[in-house]
Amino acid sequence: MIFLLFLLTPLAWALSSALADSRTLVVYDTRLPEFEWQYSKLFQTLRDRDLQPELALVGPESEPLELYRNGYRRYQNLLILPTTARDIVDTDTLLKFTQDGGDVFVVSDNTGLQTDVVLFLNELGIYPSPKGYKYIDYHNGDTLEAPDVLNKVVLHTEKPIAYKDGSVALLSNNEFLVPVVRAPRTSYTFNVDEGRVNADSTWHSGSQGYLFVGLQGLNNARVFWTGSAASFKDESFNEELVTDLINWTFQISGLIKATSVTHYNENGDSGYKIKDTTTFEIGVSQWDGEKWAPFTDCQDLQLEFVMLDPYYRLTLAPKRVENSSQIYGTTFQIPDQHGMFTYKVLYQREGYSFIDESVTVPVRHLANDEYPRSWEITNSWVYLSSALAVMVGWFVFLVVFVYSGNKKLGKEKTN
Amino acid sequence: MAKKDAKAKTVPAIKKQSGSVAAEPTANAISFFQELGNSVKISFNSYISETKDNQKLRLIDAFLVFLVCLGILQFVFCLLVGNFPFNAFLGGFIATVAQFVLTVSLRLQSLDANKTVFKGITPERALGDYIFASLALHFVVLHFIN
Repeated sequence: MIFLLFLLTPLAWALSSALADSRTLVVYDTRLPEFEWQYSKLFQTLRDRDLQPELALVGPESEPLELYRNGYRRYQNLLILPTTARDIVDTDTLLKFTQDGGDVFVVSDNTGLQTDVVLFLNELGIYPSPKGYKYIDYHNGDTLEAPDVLNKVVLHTEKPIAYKDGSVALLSNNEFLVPVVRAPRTSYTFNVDEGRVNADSTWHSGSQGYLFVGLQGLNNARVFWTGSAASFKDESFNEELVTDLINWTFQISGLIKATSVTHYNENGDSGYKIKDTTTFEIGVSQWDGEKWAPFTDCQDLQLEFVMLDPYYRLTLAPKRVENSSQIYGTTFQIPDQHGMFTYKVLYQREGYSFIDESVTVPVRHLANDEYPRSWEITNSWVYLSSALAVMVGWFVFLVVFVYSGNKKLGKEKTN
Repeated sequence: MAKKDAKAKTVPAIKKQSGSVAAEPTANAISFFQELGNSVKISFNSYISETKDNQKLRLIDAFLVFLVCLGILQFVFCLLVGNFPFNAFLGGFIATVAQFVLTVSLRLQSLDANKTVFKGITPERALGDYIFASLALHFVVLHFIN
C-alpha cells in the first residue's frame, strides 16, 4: 500500500491546467516517421500535465479534424506538429476554436505548413516563412547559444535552444502578440530553390524575424507558434523549453485572475457624494499549476476612476493576503464632480492573462442641507454683519423717525 | 425732490461763474476743482437751509448716507477678497440697495412738494408700507444669506 501511495504522489503534485476540461488533440502526419519514436517525451509531458492528449493521425486521404461535434467544442487544446497533409482543418474552424476559448499550439518547420493553418496564423499577424525557405545562421549553426528571450513570463530559461530545419515568422503590429524569442542578428531565411540570395529570395534577415511567438486574445485564449520541431523531438528534447511553452499555451502558467473587487466609502455611507474619500480593493490570484495562490510583487496594477475620461489613474499598492489572493488597494478622494463613475482595472501585460474589471457607481452632488452654513465661511462675516447692520440701523432709524417731534410732519398728520 | 430742485437752481449760478472764470486764461484743472468745491458747498448749504425746519428729512438722508457707505464697503471688500460666498455678498449688498430704494420712496412720499402726486396716501399709510416692505426685505435677505 505504501508503495502504491508513493506511486500516486507524483501524479498529485503534477502541474495541471486551471480549466476543468483540458483535453488535447495532437495532430500528426502519418507519412512522417512513427510518432512514438519521435515525440514520446512530448506526449509524456502532456500526459503529466493532465492534458489528456489524444493523437490524431492525418494523411492524404484522412477526413478533416472534427474539432466540433453538435456545435460543441470537443477539445480545449490543439497541438499541430509539422505536417504536409492537406485540408486537415480549415481556417474558419480554427478561428472559431480560438474565439471559443480553445488554445492552439502550432509547431512548423521548413518543409512547410498546412495552408489553412498558415492562413489562420496570418489572420493573427504571424507570417511564417513559406515552404522552401530555410533558416540559416552561419555563426551559431542549428543552436541558439544565447537566445534573445523577450518575455520572461512565458519562457524562464535562457539556455541554448536547438533550432534545426527552422522557419522564421515576421510579425504584424498586432498588440495581442507576445514575441518570445527573436531571431539572432546573424541569421536569415533564404529560399533554397531560388539559388541566389537577394531581396526576393529572403524572408527575413537579422533580428526582424521571430522564432517563438505567442498570442493571447481578449478572451485569454492562447495561440503559440514556433518554427522548429527540434526541441520537441526525443533526440534533442529540451524539457525546460517545452515545459514552459506548453504550460503557457495550455493555460497552466501566466494565469492570473481577479478574485474580488470591493469599494467602500471611508465615512461609512453606502453611496458616494462628491469629495468623499473612497477605498478600492482588488484581489488577484495566480495559478501555480496546482491551486490558486496570491499574485504578489505586482508593481504596475492600476486603477482608473472614469467618467468618459479617467479622473484618476492610481497605482494599487499591495495590502494583505486573503484566501489565496493578494489584495491590492488604494484610497483617494472622489473629485468635485457628480455623475456615473466607473472603477476600472484593466491589466494587460504580455504573458499574463488579462484582467478587466469595472464597477460603476453613482456619485451624487451635495444635498441642500450639506453645504456649509454662511457663518462657517469667514469671508461671509462681512456681508452677514452688514446685512445685520442694515436691519439694526433700520430699526433705530424707525424708532427715532416715529418718536422724533417734527412740526411739519405733525401738520401733515392733522391734514 | 427738494435736493434735486436745489441742485437745479445752483447749476445756472455755477455756469455763470465758470463763464467769468474762463475769460481769464488760468490753469483749467485747478479752476475745475475749485468750481466743484464751490458747487458742492453751495449745494450743501442750500440743502441745510431747506431742511432746517424738517428734522425727519435729515434723519432719512443720514440713514441713506449710512446705507450707501455700507454698500460701497461691501463692494470694495468683494473686489479685493473675491466673491466666494456669492449668495452672502448678494444678500448683503442687495440689502443695502433695496433698503436705500425703500427709504427713498418713503422720503418722496413725505415731501410737501409731492402731495399732489401721492394723493390719498397719508403719511401713516406711507410709513406702514415702508415698514411692511422693509420687513419682507429683511426676511428674504436673511434666508438668501443662509
